[in-house]
Amino acid sequence: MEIISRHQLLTISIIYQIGTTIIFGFAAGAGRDSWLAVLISTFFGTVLVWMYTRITHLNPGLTFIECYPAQFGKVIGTPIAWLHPLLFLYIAGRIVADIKSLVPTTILPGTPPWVILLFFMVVISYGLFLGIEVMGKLAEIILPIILLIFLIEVILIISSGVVHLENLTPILDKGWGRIWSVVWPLGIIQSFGESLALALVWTLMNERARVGRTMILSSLFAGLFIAFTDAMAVVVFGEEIFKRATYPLYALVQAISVSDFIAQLDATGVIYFCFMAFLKTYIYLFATIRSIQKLTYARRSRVFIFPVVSIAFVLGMTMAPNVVEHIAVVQKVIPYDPLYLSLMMVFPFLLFCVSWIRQKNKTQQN
Amino acid sequence: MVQRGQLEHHFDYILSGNATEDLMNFKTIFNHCIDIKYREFYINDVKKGSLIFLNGMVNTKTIDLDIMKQLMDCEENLFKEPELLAEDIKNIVHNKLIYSSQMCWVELFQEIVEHILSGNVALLLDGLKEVLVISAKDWDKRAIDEPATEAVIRGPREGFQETLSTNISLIRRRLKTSLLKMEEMKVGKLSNTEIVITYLEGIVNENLILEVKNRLERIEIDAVLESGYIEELIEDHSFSLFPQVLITERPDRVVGNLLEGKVGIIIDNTPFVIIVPGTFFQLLQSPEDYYQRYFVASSIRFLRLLSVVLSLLLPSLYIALTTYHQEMIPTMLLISIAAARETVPFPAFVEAFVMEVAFESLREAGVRLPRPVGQAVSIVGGLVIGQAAVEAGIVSSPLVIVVSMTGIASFIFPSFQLGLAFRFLRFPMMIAAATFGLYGILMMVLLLLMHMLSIRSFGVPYLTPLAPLRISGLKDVLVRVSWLKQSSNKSEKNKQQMGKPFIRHRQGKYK
Amino acid sequence: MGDYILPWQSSVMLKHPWVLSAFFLIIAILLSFLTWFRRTRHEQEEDSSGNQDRNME
Repeated sequence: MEIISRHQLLTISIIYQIGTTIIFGFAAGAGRDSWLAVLISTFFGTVLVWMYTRITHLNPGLTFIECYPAQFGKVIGTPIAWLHPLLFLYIAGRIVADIKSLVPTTILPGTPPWVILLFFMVVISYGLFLGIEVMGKLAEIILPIILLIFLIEVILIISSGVVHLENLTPILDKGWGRIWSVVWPLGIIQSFGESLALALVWTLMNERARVGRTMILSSLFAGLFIAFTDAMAVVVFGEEIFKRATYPLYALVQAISVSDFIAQLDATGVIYFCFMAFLKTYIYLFATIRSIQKLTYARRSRVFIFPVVSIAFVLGMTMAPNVVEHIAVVQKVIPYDPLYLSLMMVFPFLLFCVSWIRQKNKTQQN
Repeated sequence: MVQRGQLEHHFDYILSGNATEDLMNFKTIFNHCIDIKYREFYINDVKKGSLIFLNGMVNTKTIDLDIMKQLMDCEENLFKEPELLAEDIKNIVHNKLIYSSQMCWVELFQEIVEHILSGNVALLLDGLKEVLVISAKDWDKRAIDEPATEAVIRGPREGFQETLSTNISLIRRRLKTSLLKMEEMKVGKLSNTEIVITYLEGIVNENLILEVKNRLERIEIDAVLESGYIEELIEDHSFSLFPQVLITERPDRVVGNLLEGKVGIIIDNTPFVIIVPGTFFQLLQSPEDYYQRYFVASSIRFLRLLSVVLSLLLPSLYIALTTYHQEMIPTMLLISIAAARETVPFPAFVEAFVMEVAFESLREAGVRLPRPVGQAVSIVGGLVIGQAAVEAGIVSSPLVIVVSMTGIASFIFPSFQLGLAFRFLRFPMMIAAATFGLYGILMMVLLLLMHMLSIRSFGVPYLTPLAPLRISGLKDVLVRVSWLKQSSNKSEKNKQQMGKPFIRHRQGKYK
Repeated sequence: MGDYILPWQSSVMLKHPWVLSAFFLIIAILLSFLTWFRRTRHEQEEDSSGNQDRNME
């Protein structure tokens, strides 16, 4: 029986929620007010995540997806539950495709992408084989390192002399319109709706009651972090370039140039990203495997590792022929995609209401 | 009869009371063992008896003066009564005749044989169905010397020896308390090696002791020649590169660990004592840290942690940066490296690989050469070969620097085995760096970390206190906390060891 | 029709975004049958052997 501690859950969630948003960002559409958009998204997103935790609380002992058959009945609930591992698998494939777009173009131009991805999948498989405890400990160790590296980056950027605080002003001169267009629905989905995958980990925590608080803390922290990063990017590049940058944080790292000695640290940014992607992909695949295990009443989850990892690999390899299309999908299609919206917002909301009402009835009876 | 072809001894003999018969049985068992000596005698011309002992493991003076002399010089009337009961004979021999301080009566043939083979003297007497075993052990020992593999600048220079009793006394001298327990076991069907488990009652976790005993009892092996055999057989993950127990030649190190609630396993015929459970950070500590001054010791600890990272990553970083990410190197440095590498026909990976292999070969060779020659050859050989190679244009001088710094970093490990593990891991790391650059290094480090995080040693996670993060334990890892601040709470000592192996229980009150 | 074969590809996603959702829905319904089948078998095992549920972790 695997158990992770509260602190481990916290570190896993923080890294997960900061995740790949840090490289691609979602608020580029809001221009120089992106940090504001992120903060607002954080607020709503935290509420969403809180709702997820409440659902698990109202259905004690069941993992998130098992709540669907339990509350909605077998006929409706089971297909809905099955949609989750499929979605998670798809998103995992997206992240693999992210790496496929990023690593070969930036640091390993001569290497065929499939080899790079294969290595990635092997390491992930080993992690899946070892279990989530190991990942919890890994997150515990690496989070401080990540924060430290980020701090050093910030200091280096400031010492590179490229910071222009006036880029942040005037605030809101283009109105709230473009902020809202970013917050709903993309901002909420991007980091917070995706926390749905973490729901499969919550039942493994040793202090079930504190899941809610842990997740709120993590969401707020991650949101602040992303907002800060976006603000940094605007401050360095100005609005126009920021809106057009493919990889904002990567561009930030590229901007570091301290007295000609420390310069061209692109690779560090990529490594940073690779680790975030690693953890996110791991959680998604873990969630997939666990969901499948629960839904098929299988005894051991290890038998699913190979098929799931292979499918994710194939998905990632075939998903996008180039980075532009890939990002276009994120910006244009996903926010309105019925799958995302329903699984991350509509259904959980319904589930929440139903569970809550049932709980009230039960307490009234007693 | 001893059944040949079976590895287990199975003696069907029973002591009959007739000294001649019994002696014949012993001679049959010890047939063709010329180092077993027999001394037959008559006490007062009436009682027949004989001594059996292993020449070379006994102190002949003791036998001569304390046993034979007493037997020869005894009272005239002793044993003259014809109808003496066995009880009375035993009484006489035990209380009036033999002067030895360590004796016992043994009935079973198997046990008597084991006693004789351990260096004790067996006394057979007519009319007795038991044999008196007298301790007279003495053999040539190495002098107590500074441990060869663990030299310190400040600290005691006593090291363990090959004799079990000496090792036990070295530990006992440092902990003069009755809470220090020593329990005995025998392992090895043919070797019958004695093993002593030692721990401090009250501090150690009871479950740990039970687990250790369990694992030792389950060992089925013909012979135990060195603690390495035992180590592999009781470890949780014997296939892993990382040692999960601590091996040491120093008594002060053993005692320090006993005080932390660990269990020590002392094995006969080897000076290397095993301490369980062993965690990664504990393997990086040296007892000297506690003998030096606070700030100095803490800085040296930092240095050690840094060199752990360097010994693993330095060659890989060099390969990755020069092959894939040249832009990351500062321009001036890049120009000098490029200039140095201009004449080298190989890519950075081949260069580094060849140099590392050469370095490792020199190091291995240096171990086997006789001491005066060995050191000279390793160092000078390294320098000369390195210099010659650079001038021939086979390797570049920055690489020689990288390789030697790595080598120096790998010597800093206080635990030889952990150093070996990291030395080996350098090579896959270099291959990953050569194939995938920094990305490869990241993935390999992740693989390594995940592996280390999944290992446990007797239930304690290997990377405690970093892995299940315990801030209170961390203070002893990164920095050596001064005596004044260390935990001295008696209630914390009990039964919490498995969860908090790093809380020190030494009192540090400042008067 | 050949367009629709691999609905996760970004080209398909951009032109016909609903294909992925439909694809997943169909698979989910098919797999639900698997769950029903395994569930009844699981419950049969539980009844007959009377063991504790070993699956839930």
